[in-house]
Amino acid sequence: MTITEPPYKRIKVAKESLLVPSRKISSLHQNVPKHPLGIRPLGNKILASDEDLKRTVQSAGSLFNKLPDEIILNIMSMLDKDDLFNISHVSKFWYGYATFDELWRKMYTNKNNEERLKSGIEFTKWNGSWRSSILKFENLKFEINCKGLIYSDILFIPYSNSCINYKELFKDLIKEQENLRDIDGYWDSNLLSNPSKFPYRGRIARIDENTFTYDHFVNNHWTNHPFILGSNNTNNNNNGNKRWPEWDTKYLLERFPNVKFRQESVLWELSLYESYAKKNDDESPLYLFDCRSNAMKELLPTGYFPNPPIFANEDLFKIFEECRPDHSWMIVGPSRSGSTFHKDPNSTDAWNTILEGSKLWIMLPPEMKPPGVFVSNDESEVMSPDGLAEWVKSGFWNDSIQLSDEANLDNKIGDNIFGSGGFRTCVVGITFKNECMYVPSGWWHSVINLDDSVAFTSNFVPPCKIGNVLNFMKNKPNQISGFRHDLFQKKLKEFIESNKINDLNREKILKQYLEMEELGKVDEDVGELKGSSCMPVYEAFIEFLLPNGMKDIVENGIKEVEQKEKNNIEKSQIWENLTKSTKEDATKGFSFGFNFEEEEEDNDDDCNDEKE
Amino acid sequence: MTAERSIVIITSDNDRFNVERKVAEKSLLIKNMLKNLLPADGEEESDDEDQDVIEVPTQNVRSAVMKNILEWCEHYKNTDFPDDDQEDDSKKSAPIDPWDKNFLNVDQEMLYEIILAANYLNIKPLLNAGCKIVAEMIRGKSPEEIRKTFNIVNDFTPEEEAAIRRENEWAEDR
Repeated sequence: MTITEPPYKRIKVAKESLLVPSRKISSLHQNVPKHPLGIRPLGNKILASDEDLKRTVQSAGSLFNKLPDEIILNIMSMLDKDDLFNISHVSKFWYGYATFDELWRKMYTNKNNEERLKSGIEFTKWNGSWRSSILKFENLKFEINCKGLIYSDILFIPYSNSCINYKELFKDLIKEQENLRDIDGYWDSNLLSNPSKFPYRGRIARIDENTFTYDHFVNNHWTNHPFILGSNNTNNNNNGNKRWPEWDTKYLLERFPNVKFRQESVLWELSLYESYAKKNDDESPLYLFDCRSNAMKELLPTGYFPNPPIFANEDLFKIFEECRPDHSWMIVGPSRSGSTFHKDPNSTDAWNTILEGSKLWIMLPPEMKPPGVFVSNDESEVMSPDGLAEWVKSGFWNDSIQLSDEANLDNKIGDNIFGSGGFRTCVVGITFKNECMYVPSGWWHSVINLDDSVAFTSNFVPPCKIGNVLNFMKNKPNQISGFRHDLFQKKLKEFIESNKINDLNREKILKQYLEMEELGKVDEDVGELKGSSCMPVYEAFIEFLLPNGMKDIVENGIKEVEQKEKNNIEKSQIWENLTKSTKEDATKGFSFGFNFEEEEEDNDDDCNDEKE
Repeated sequence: MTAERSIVIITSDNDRFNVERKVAEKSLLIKNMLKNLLPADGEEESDDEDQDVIEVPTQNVRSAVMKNILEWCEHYKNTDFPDDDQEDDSKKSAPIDPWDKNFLNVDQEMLYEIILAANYLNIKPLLNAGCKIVAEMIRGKSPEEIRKTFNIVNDFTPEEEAAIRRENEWAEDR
């Protein structure tokens, strides 16, 4: 299982640790910005003069003076464009609330195309804010001064968060990661016989793609640990053959200025999105995440990236053909955009290559819970603070980096303890241009764009990880996402017509499903609909693979699932016994905590399919 | 076996309202509170069998307001509102229920107190109806009319007034 060190040239490792002792941010609230209207945080109200308070009452009026912020904004969110515009001219107080851009953004993004046209809020030119764009105000700049009148966290904090400067906050980490890239360099994969060989604990290893083989991936435990692929030769200069395409913003804008791309709930031309990305005060900027635009069809004529990293060459999900969930995306986002903690859908793996800019990754193994995030027991529900800036400012970055720093300081960790405590913990890293991140299935990850970034990402299932995916499909069917009944039924019908089903039970389940006719009528993406749990994806996946020379792989996968199920039962029994004895002990007058080693490799489930 | 224990809501001014559980549970705050106090039917209630009244203090709501709130809860006691926290645009734009509209036809002070109480007691449909009534009071009115409705002082400086005129001109030009 381990490879003894071969006589390859030893790559350079800096003598002293390149890591600074801690990446904690000590100045989270140092630079509180001034709100353009003079709105202040609620806590400042205590300093308001009697005179100011009297002015507030007069400016707000009898009713609004007494209502809490959430209710004021809820009332205002019920108004249409003309009324919301109108009331901003009532008084300073009303101006402050009615120009809150989040109201205008929601007015726009909560509606579909048709509704936007009908209510006259559609626009084709971005004028710096949602309000100015919806009202078509160009270069209309003036200041209303609400100083001393409005003390509100709901109005102030989003603005303050939108001013966050990650490059400044993370400047030490950025320097460190640049050093790891440039001084330490990409590791010869032959030297990293397992992830614990990487000396910088709590950081994501950089591996030289030219030395990395599928065999390394499978046999050196990299299938269950994130790493960054790059090259010492081509990464920092432009000579030689280019590993990755030059699809940066400039290129995309020239080639596809008027192609519509998907940005969350809107579908904008790239040029419109570009002007939005350049200037907005949104707390969480809209993120371009596109897989179906005409541009993507042109860039990927086969539907797949032509030259993926070696570990993604074989992709079992290709067997689903047309009914496969979306898998390859272009991701464009300004600095500050990104994604809060999530696991990738259907327990798939992913790779993510930066074509422009840089991304900060915070990743945790499946069995841990990310700091500052609520996760329900079955992980079907994940709740994070609103937005990345809030997560960072609330101190959860510091909590995460502490886990990561502790792993690095733990001297007891030797070479042969892969998988033991301390090593599998929160890891962080920054990917720069032309670096490719591997995201193992089930790993929690949150990603922050430090610059305006363009990336390309793809979800896939390598044969060696079929067990994870089968286990997910079988035991978390209600969390399967991205399959559509109509396409799935079509593919299944065609398959059954020309193939014999290998297993009677599976045959029964698949045929039963095909008889559920009403499902065929649902043509929207039903990933999240109630009906999706009845989709026999598990059975179909197995049967699709079998006639394609995958018998061994499938059988191994099924064995793995059985093993995981067995482990889970044993675990719950151990748990039951332990808790029972605790209860008994408690009745005797004392209780105690106990250590319970978590299984390392289960829990590879999906929570939502938010993207990095 | 015990008979259903009665619930008494005590207001800030110490008035007591005897209410049916179904009515009281229109308030999610009270519903959750009762969930902890009163186990589901058939469960043992060994500890406090002698206590057959459950008192629910609501320090933020005075008697006159509570009377209104309970009238609303009584009216809707057999209506199931889907309990969702999600922001639903269609629900926001739906017209106010005529009964609610009539029910909320009160002076501003009472309206304000009902809204606050619905917020505190977590009665979403009532809170929503209250907000809709206020939105209704605003809709289609000129700034001057709104100032009159809510007793607001126009505190824009002359420069700000000029800026606002420019915004209006732009809006009209479109």
